[in-house]
Amino acid sequence: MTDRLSVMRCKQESRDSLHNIYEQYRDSLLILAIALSHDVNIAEDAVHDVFVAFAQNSENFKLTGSLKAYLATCVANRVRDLMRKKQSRTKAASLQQNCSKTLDLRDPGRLIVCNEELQLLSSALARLPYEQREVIVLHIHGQMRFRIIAKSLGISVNTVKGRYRYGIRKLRSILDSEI
Amino acid sequence: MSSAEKIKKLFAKSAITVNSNLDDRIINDALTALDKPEKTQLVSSEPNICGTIIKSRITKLAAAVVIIIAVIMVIYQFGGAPDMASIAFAQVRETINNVPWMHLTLSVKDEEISDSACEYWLMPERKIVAGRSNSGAFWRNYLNRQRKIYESAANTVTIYYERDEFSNENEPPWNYLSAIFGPELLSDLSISRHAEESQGELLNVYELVGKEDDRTARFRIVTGADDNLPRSIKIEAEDMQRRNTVFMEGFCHYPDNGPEDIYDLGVPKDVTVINNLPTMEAKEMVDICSRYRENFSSYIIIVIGGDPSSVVSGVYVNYIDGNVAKAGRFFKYLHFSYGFMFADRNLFEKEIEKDFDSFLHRIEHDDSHRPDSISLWDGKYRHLVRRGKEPSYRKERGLGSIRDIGGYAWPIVLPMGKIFEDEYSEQNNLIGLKAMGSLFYFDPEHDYICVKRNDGRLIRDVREMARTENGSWYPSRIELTLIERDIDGAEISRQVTNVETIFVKMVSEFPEGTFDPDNLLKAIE
Repeated sequence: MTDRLSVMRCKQESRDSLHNIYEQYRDSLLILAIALSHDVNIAEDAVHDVFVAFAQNSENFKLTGSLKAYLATCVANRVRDLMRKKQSRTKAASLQQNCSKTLDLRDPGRLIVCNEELQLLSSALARLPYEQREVIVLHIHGQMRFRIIAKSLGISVNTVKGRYRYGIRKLRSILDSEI
Repeated sequence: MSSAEKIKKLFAKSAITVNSNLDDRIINDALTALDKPEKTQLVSSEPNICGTIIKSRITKLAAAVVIIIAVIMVIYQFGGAPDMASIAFAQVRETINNVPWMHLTLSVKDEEISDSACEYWLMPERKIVAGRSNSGAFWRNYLNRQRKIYESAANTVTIYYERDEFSNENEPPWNYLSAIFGPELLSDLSISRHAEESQGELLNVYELVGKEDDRTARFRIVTGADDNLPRSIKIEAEDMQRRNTVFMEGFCHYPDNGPEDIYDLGVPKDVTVINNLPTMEAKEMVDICSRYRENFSSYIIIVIGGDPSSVVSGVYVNYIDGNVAKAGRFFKYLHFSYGFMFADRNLFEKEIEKDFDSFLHRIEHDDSHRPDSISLWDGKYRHLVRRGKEPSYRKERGLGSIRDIGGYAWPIVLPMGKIFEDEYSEQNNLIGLKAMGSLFYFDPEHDYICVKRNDGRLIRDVREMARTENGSWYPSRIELTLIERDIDGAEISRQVTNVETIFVKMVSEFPEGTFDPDNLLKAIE
């Protein structure tokens, strides 16, 4: 089923079409959210929130491009928002506690278990500023063109390209030692 | 290899294993949102959700209305300690409930969209809300569940079945407000009151301020000191993305009369009317389903889900008692295990049939058989605990994944459909109802259970039925068949993907403390 058909069916309140969209994009969006946030809890919440909002807006939703790109942008926006909230909340918490806390993305008690590649990727990306991370993940994993990323983020194409270039440069040293 | 290529390679090799509990949470909440558009908008995936709501021509007025209703009628509930200002503000709401009509003119300023103005009327006693702007008008009567929308560009009036409940404390206003300003911002409002005099009239000014991190929402409501009725309302708040600030300003009047129909709002009488109200037959069918659902008021339902080869993927045990419910979910995964589980469906089903009571007793009292998640629905909120290495507790609105017999036997179908007959319904003596993009087949010989639902992609077939002790029928085995289609809609294949076995027992007494949120919290201690 194509994106457009899925959305059309979703508009007609086809519950299973929504289910289909979810199943089709779930893993990709979760990986994107984990890569952006390095936090499975935020990733869970971001993908959850985006699908709830997507279902909510399905009646008025008009797909103008790729559904995957649209959902990826929504997830990126939501991750940014959740991370901002989390950062604000943790300011009051013990700095030492925050620094010493490491995420075990393989923890089987979690709802999402990540493989080693994703853990490595997520750890490497976590060392970049969020803006650079966002552009790299949307471009490489989301397969979005710089022009589309620029439009969705409300910034210029040159800024997007700059963030991508700086981000990739920083990753070089990180990955050379870890891959 | 370049860094970009390395990243690409890592992404390509990245994989996750997702617990179906997460799927359940997301899908159920999304489906709830799909069923209740404009009602459960919880988050901002769009750059600006206020803009999204306001930009939508049809919802523009409705959004403004509920925001104002929410501010006046609901917002005081979010305040902290019940100080004098909060108590006084609560009285404002009471006075509005007693006016014949409230009329409000409203202007909205949003940096991302052009300014807009509209006016609306509220009739608290008869639960009528109406409004108009340049783009159209709406008139909603919550008592007879009619919603009329006039679109000036199309020159049409469309009549819909009204889904939402209108209630001072019901969810839509709260949800709208929450969607636009964020729940955190509204959870700790401070209310202050001071007196002012204007043109010889003594006024009370209520200032409500909500703060979250560096974000602020301000509400200023001016009421008459004598009659307690709002004169004006101002809202200024940053949206959740902090990208822009929304300003709203409204002035209230209290006329004796208001619009009794959409045509009283200046809508031309020669517009094309599109009637989307349900047919009487469909409405009757929906009412029948509702009555049979009500027969099941206090019961325990156990649902065993899994693939057709008898592997159990999840076991749900739900206690339902009127408006309250408790749900537990039990799992086992391929890579690790915790909780309680029978891997073989046949063994599990035999065990349940043999000793339903001891099974329930065991999962309630034996720590080794504890569920991995429990939801408690107290009639208003769903309290959800998750066990595991990082136990968590959440309190949410909405039923979420709590399952009841109605969902399996008498799905809630909005009465907008039409009764139909086809070969399948004739051969099996069933009543067909086409609604919400699906075909429903009800069996009049078995308490009108919906024995088949087909939406073109997924077919839900009731394969077996059983009866409770008091003789009520319920579906005891349901098959889900997935139809794969090509882009032109032609069927490529169909496959049974899931089988659900259901056991229901009517009960009059529930285990002590089952519906106590405090007991639920102890589960993760």
